[in-house]
Amino acid sequence: MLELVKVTSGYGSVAAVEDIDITVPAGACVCLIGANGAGKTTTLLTICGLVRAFSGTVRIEGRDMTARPADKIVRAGVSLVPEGRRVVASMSVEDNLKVGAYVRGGDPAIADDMDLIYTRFPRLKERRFQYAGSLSGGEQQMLAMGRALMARPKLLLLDEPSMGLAPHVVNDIFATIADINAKGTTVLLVEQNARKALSVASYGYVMEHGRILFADTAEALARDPRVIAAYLGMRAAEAAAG
Amino acid sequence: MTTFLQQVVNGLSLGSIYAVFAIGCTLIFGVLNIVNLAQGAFFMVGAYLGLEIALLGLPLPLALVVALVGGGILGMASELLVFRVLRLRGGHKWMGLVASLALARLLVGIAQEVFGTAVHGYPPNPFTAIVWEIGGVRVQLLQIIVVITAVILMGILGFTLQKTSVGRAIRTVAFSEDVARIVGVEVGRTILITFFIAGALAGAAGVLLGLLFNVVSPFMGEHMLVKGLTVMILGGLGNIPGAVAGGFLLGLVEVFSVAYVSSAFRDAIGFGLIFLILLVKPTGLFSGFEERRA
Ligand SMILES: Nc1ncnc2c1ncn2[C@@H]1O[C@H](COP(=O)(O)OP(=O)(O)OP(=O)(O)O)[C@@H](O)[C@H]1O
Ligand SMILES: [Mg+2]
Repeated sequence: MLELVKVTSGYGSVAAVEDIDITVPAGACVCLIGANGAGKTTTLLTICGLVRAFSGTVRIEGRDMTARPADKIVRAGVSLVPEGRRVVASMSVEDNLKVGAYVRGGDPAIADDMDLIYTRFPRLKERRFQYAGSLSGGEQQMLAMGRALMARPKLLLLDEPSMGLAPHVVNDIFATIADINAKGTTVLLVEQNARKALSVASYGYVMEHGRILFADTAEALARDPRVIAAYLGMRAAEAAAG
Repeated sequence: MTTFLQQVVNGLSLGSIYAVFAIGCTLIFGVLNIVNLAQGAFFMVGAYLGLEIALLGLPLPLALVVALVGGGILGMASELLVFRVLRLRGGHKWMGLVASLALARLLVGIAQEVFGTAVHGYPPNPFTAIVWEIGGVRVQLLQIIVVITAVILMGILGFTLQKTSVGRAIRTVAFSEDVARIVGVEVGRTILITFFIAGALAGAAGVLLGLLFNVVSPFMGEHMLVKGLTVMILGGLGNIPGAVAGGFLLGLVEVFSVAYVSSAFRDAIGFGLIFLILLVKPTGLFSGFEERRA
């Protein structure tokens, strides 16, 4: 579904990710974990065409989509749920969902998909005419996911969906991600919450200082001493303390 | 009392034109955080385009349509020739200000060459001739038509922005160009459409003002630009409902100041109003429900 081959990209002339290879097979749920500033967001933005690749190739369903304009990437079936949600605060919940279906033009099935989103997230239906800016963090995350789903993506990119949310809301969000994947959408999930990410993903990449350090199945990573020390141990200690 | 009502009628018809013109200015500001100083020149060109159509003996609705399309095309040209070039090269916003002013001067110069500096008037039309006297208040059919046309234009714009895919794209770009890209909006094309709409509103306002006061001159746009900027500040930068309210307010205030104070103070009072409002409410009279940039 998605293939990154020796991709280097960054801002201005400074590389933020270097020489990375990532493969996401169709139907899979793959996660990308790593500390602050590792280059996870940059990787996703490079796939989406918002950050320009200096070198390397981004392939979507086998087609070279490197440095194509962002709208072409969405039309090719890749949607991003961005870090910090980025819902359009000054628009209603309903209009945010409608703008998510922008690339589908006048597709008559848009109304049905909107109902599916409202069934999945009843809270959004209750608040459909409210400004998105008035929603809670968890509701905004649901809206950002709903907006991305409205494009009917084949591949959904999620950038730290658990950021800043209460634990029970995080559980809901991850259950939703697992369900979206089970219904056939391929998922690439970026998370600092490695424990949660590895619980829904089947495969994972570990990123540090702009490079992929290693990759393995989610089960193996969850048992890997390096992962436990760097990403799980600390969280476990935090959890024990909290 | 009759003078009062008379000024209300005059103020509303003038204000409706201010509102149409100012909406264009504030729309561009809302989307790009820039001011297009060539909007006044588009207004002037719109008035001349309408005048030429009317002089050919063609119907006035056609004059309005030609001015809308002509103004819109000029608006797109200003984006393609000035603003897009500056954005791509990373030019400072001030350069857009100066370059759009230069474009305005160019259009005024061309108008002077083509039409001369003399003031022209629209040929007689049936709407000016029809006047009702209601309790001493004179209402021209033309005034009513101007207000109705302005309200229809604002209604079409409101519908487009709120209820159509293009409108949602414009509002999303206004919020954040990156968010617009994420959902697949072609940002460049959407900005171009925004410039078309703003230019079209300016062109249409030109015909309406030319008809209402029967005065068309190469310099009418500079005057209008100042009004547009005034209304934009009154209503809150980028705030469209604010521009509508501010347009009507400025029209009323000007007409009343001419009637009750002196025509010499007409412009001074408009600016006085700005000072007063900015002292009390620096975000504009009607702030609070505009599209906000992230
Ligand atoms: N817009 C930008 N301009 C310049 N440098 C940037 C920009 N965004 C990120 N960087 C830099 O690129 C590097 C990678 O950042 P990135 O946001 O991709 O990391 P991340 O893994 O997503 O981190 P986090 O977990 O904090 O979201 C960092 O060193 C960061 O400082
Ligand atoms: Mg990040």
